[in-house]
Amino acid sequence: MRRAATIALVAAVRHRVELRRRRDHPQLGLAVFLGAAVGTLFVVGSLPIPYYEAFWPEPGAFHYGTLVADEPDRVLVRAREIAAIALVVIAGLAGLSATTSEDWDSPPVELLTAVPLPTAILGVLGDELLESSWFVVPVAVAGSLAFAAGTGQPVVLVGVLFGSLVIVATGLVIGTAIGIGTRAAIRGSPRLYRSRNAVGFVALFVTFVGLVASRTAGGALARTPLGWYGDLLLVTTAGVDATLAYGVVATVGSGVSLAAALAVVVVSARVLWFAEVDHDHDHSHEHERDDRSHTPTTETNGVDTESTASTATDSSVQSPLETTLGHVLSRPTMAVTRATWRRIRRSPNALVFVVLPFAIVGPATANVAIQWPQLVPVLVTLYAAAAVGLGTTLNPIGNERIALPAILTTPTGRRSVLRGHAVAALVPGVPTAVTVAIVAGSVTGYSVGQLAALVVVAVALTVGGVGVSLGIGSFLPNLKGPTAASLSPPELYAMVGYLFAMSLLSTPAFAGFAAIGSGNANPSELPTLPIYGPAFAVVVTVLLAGSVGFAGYRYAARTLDRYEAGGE
Amino acid sequence: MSDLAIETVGLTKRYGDETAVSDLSLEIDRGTVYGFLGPNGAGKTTTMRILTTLTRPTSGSATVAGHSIEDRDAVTPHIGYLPEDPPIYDELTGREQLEYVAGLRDLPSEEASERIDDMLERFDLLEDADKRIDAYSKGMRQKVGVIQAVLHEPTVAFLDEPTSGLDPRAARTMRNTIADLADQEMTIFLSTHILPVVDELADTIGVLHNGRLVAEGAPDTLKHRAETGEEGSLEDVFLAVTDETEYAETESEPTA
Ligand SMILES: Nc1ncnc2c1ncn2[C@@H]1O[C@H](COP(=O)(O)OP(=O)(O)OP(=O)(O)O)[C@@H](O)[C@H]1O
Ligand SMILES: [Mg+2]
Repeated sequence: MRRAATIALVAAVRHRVELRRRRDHPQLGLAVFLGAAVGTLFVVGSLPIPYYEAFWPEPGAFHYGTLVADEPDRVLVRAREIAAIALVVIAGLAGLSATTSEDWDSPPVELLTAVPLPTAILGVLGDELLESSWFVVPVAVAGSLAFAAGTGQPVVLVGVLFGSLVIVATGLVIGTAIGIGTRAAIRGSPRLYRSRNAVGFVALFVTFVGLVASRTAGGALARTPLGWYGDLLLVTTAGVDATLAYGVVATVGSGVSLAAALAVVVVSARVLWFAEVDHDHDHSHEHERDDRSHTPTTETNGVDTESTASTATDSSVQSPLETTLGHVLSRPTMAVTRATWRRIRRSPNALVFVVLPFAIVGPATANVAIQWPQLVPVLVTLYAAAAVGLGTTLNPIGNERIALPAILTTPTGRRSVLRGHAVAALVPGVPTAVTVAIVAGSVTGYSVGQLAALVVVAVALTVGGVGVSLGIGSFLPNLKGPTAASLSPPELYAMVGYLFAMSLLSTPAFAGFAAIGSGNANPSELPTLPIYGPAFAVVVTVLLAGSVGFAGYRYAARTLDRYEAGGE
Repeated sequence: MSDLAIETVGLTKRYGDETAVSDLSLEIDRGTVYGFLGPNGAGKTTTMRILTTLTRPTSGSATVAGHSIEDRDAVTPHIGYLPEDPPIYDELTGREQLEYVAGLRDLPSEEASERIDDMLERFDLLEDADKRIDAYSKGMRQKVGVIQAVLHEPTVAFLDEPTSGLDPRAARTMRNTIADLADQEMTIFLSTHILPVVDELADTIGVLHNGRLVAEGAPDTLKHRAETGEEGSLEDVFLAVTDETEYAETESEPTA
């Protein structure tokens, strides 16, 4: 009993610290609210309220509630699918968050010396779960209320609410256990461990694409015991033929697997917290390789070819590049650019989020490819352009946080830092986006004029996007990192906001290139204007991305000017 | 141009209803070392943050190297600052960090690398200069922070507890370095809790207590203070002027 109280205390205090951090940066709190609000809109779906119906016509929980009376079987099938998918999605997100969270990197020393280790671990876990629940619980509760309201029977709420909370808790805890367990398992291999975020993202991406792309995935999942949680949701819904036994088994199963998951978390966290890390290890190897490049073998293992190669490229290719850049850029900007590249190379985790646009909008490509094949190059170009701004530019203040006193007391420091980060992203980013545009356009059969237009759009979106990224990143900074002085990944809501902004910025490009029409697709409603459309896209995108990007940069510069380093 | 490196008039900083710095007036000559003492929470760091333009005073005014602190762009070329946490990047090596700062300040490369080597050598850091900072000890990080604060030979260097975390030898190096810098006409504004450091280095000592300047003078003058009646140590003076019970008395006569 005392143990539980201590765990609750640890979780509550850590959570309060996080809440205070959000309060100091109200925009972070607002972002959570917006995230939960959008999630709620999706789950609740359309409501028979004037205007609202037109605003949000997608059917959701309320709609299915109204169907209970007439089509109870359809509702049951759907509930099983939704429950199964929700479990997988929540567990996937919790797993990803556990593989990336800094809380599991090193032990909170103040706890270790005060309470038993399992208590400390479960306290930290409690805090992590509370943080995730800000987002999921409101959605689950609102969905339950909407469904019950749709049926018009208050007693329905008991089952849906209980069931959805069981689903949320089970998904969060088991997902966390899987994530942290995997993380502990690969702790022994520095290379695997460093790439865990990327691997996690890819795994999640494949799962999501699988769920969305295959219409049968939901049904297949629903036939597994995961579908039984759908029965649990509907046990108190009269008229639906939910199997009570399934609901009971699901609840008991959750209890058992929660206990097992907690044990996994305790064991894994112990491994992670007490893994002795030699910070200088990788680096001394880097130097050894530089010094005696003819003996690329290292004492740990011989399979080191990949990083040897990359080190070699770094020193041979980047130096001329840096020299050339040095002629164009001011020395302070160049200093920041060079330092940023070095930091990224040694903290690659901060950059892994550049794959995010592919993970989020990837599934949309499939739809677009079928309906409007002529737009695929634009979409792919947008992915590439958006990825460029997801690196260090999306957290300029957070990445500099401990260095801010030095930067702000350096004459051109503020401008140089923003420009340096922008250049560090654009130098590899613009050629990449242009290449992607040319390849995708050629494959789709764009004419030379259309290709040229797409290239201009790619450059405008990439450059403008980096400006937007700096702006949003200074509005929603992430001031926590693995250590006080290391790079930190962007704030989650900054990433979401940025991707949203990028999709808005690309609207004219889509509209313009849609006008190309397409011989092999359904006849487009728009007139066929093979070059005027892309020309329109070019002009509007350049103007829009240019001005919004410039505004973003200006906003970042002003935020940095006003920033009271260390004064929060 | 004024002869004063730092001049403040009635400098006050409030956070809500808490006063961190209260009506602080200082006049610090160029090329001198000013030792800033005071109990924890006295307002030393806050004063430095105001003077380095990182935060604005609630009221009062100040000039640093002849420029108003309202004008950040005018002040920053003339100052160097070592905050409580050294502003360095874990991912860089010590040398890369210093080269970065030299680039950021647009110092001539040759001169800068000479000076970097010289300082690294002086602080016994040459051997570890190509190790990453995340593998540095606290004292090694502190050394990098100090070097980068004075690398560009600023007119005024603000050093917030520069000897914190340094071993005895490194602390001695730090004291010698500060003395050398002062010889080269650099003004050093230094906060510390280690009284022998200021006793040895400072031309003037100011003691801050609850945001107010409760004593100021050359180390020897302070040690002859009337309160103790006799020759005391700097520690005696510090304890006397920051004693809560005598606070009311000292307040009425700030620089007795
Ligand atoms: N950002 C802030 N918000 C609110 N109060 C602050 C802030 N910064 C400082 N203070 C308060 O101002 C007072 C002076 O703090 P300061 O950091 O200047 O003390 P200090 O003399 O440097 O102490 P130490 O010797 O412990 O470093 C303290 O009471 C502190 O609580
Ligand atoms: Mg202080």
